[in-house]
Amino acid sequence: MFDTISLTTNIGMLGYFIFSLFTDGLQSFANNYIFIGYLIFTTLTLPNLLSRVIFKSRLFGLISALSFLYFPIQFLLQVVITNLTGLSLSEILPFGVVFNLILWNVLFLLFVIGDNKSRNESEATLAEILSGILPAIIYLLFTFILIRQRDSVVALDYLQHITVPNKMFNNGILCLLPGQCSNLFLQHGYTTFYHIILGNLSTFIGTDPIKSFYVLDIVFPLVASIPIYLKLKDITKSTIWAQLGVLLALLTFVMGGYDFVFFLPQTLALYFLILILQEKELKLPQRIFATLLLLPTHFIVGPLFAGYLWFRFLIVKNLSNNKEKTILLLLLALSVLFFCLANISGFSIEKLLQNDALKEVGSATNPYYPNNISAYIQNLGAGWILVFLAYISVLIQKKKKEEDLAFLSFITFGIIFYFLAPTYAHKFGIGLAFFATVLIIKYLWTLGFKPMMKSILFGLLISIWGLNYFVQYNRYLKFYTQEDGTASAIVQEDKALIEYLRENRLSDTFIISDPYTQLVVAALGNIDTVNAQYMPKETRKNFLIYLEDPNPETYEKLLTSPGIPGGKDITILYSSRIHRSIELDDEAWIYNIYSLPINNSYSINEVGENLIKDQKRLNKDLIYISDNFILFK
Amino acid sequence: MKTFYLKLLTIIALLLGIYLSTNRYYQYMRSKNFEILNERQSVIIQLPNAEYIEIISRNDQVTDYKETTEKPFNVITNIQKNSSLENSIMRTDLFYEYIENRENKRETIITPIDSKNIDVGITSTTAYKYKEGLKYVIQLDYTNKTEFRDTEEPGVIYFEDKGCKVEIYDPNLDYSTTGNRQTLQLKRDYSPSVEYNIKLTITCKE
Repeated sequence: MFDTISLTTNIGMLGYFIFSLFTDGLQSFANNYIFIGYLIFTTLTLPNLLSRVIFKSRLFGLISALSFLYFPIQFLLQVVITNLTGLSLSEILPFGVVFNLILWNVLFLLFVIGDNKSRNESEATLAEILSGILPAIIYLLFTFILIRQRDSVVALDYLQHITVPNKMFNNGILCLLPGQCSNLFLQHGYTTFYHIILGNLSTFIGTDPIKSFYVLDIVFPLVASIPIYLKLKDITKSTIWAQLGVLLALLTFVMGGYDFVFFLPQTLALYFLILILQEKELKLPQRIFATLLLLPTHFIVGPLFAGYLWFRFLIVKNLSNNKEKTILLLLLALSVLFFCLANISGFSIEKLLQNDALKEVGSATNPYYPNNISAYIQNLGAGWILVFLAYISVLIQKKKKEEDLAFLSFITFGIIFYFLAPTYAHKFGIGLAFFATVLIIKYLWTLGFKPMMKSILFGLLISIWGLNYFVQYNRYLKFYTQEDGTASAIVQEDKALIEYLRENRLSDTFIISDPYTQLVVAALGNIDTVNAQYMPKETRKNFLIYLEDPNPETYEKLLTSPGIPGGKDITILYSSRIHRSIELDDEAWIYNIYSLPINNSYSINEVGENLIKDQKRLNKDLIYISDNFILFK
Repeated sequence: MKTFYLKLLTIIALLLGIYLSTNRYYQYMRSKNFEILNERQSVIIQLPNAEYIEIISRNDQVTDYKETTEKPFNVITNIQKNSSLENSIMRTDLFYEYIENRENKRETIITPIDSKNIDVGITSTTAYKYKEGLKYVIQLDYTNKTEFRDTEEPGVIYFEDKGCKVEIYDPNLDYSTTGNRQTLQLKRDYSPSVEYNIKLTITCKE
């Protein structure tokens, strides 16, 4: 039955696309939510089918995680083809995406038909997948009806990351590190592995990036729900407990970690880890391959995850008796206490060893006592009480299970790194949603509640997690909430600029504007800027000085500021954000690189005569784009 | 037996959890009698009567009320406000302003406690030569003309305007008002580091 449902749904989708092709034309696909969703779903699940059908391995497991390497391999092949044929990457890459769509359909058909011929495994597998997806659908209804607005983009990271596939596509650049493609990456945190996948989800086929980011936030949790479900089902052998676990894991908003909320390099690494953990036991070569996959996905979180796998293998697995296991559990608790107290007493890696990075940013990148403790507690809210109870339960068990120790170890590592407080320590909260949920579900399941009590318990758990998630998510949205109540990184007034830049290609120039506008220009206009939102503080200051007092001397100082490329044409884009800053003397943005005013509605009624005159000296004329943007070109 | 106690503890934990979560939700959803605007070079507490209270670092004074009056933050060489990074790493509803004028530093932390109460903490570090009777003064400016009145409660003054009553509690209260009936000046004996811990209680008619 599930085979038939899945096949029929897919055929229905394809039929709809063919119908749309004839009625609305090929261009309509760029804005078609169903197509965008289908593209993202098939791209993110193609590695699973490759793993099952081609490599005859599990649908969700280590091989499926490794199968994600298909995307960079395909990309490299396409680069080779462009070199051989003389075609550009922008001509070749769309065919790669279309090929993947066809490949997915072929593999899906083979999966269903092939399995039917043998033991009809696909029927059971698809039933399991649908069981896993069901709570994710409830989560999506909750999130996208009560919290998110339509077409909202609520992670600036998406705008930053999309510049890399944009450069690959439009400029035909091959880069191993994102910083080689785009000047928006001041530190190397990952390879372009993630960016190639992101390109396949949007840029390479030309779908609307804003709609793609929005739909990605819907499809990614849906896809991630499957391995979470399978892991929980494997532990509890109960469909309902596993489904509850999926719902709770998705309803956890980890500030800074974002586990399953956004599709980012760090969350991709987490997804890989969950796929890897589907394996009952990882042998040494498998562990090495897993490490080699995790490290390039994210240079900080990847080693954390890989380290966790090795810790399990080298330490947890070798604890032979209950006494040793108890000692480990006590050591974990003691470590949390020690590092927490060290942090409270003032210890922090970023303050002690990373002063240069802090100077560049303009402030500390972590909250400090008591705000850091409060922020970490809010990630799980009252769920921490259950984590504590689960810990006690494991501690007093006579036969402690290796897996329980491993889950608790992961949570402890996250807390330790968070309190050690290197720069951006909040990222170490990642994985909390999955590991804490699995631990809690396992603990509750072992208690063996009666059906009546179980249903009350489920209601209470969903309410606790739902309320905490709602508050966490809405508080996160505060930065993205504009004057008119829209909660999105995309500002209505900026759309006129995006439109202008699409219609009037500005080649061989660098745009300089306020940092937020630069990010919009770089991400959605594919034009180089002065490090976009990470415009150096000194350059911000010199830019503002020039705008307030335009003359050859201040212009020269601006040209020699960090991030401004020598010998390149510089185009000033005067925005409402800058105008407001000058008019109202609001200058916080020049002292901290994360000080980004989002609103752009302060109308530019007049630009200084001196600025126009000095730009004329440089043969730049004033182009009025809208009430909120003036370009000196 | 062990399982029984764990079950019992779990139920208690869940009931406690639901209480804490509901409380947090209501705290978040409850409409407040004020809104804090933390932009430009001041912190503004907007009241529902369309007026606001403004605390501007530029108006701080070091004065002996005779011959010396200095404004330590008349010029600003560094200003930090809540940033997008803070937004994503700590959700404490805290409003932060840090201002520097070379060696003079001033930090303001505004914490809304609930729908009526706000804690205002200001720490100012300046370097002036000590003089007899020298005071450090901060200003709370209200946008409308009003009367600042004393209460029987020590450390509390208040004003009422257009349906809103604002009580200002300063444990070390030493104040004066200006002739324009809009400004409250809170004073401290001058020292290189001056600290204010003020509580505002804002009550407005529905």
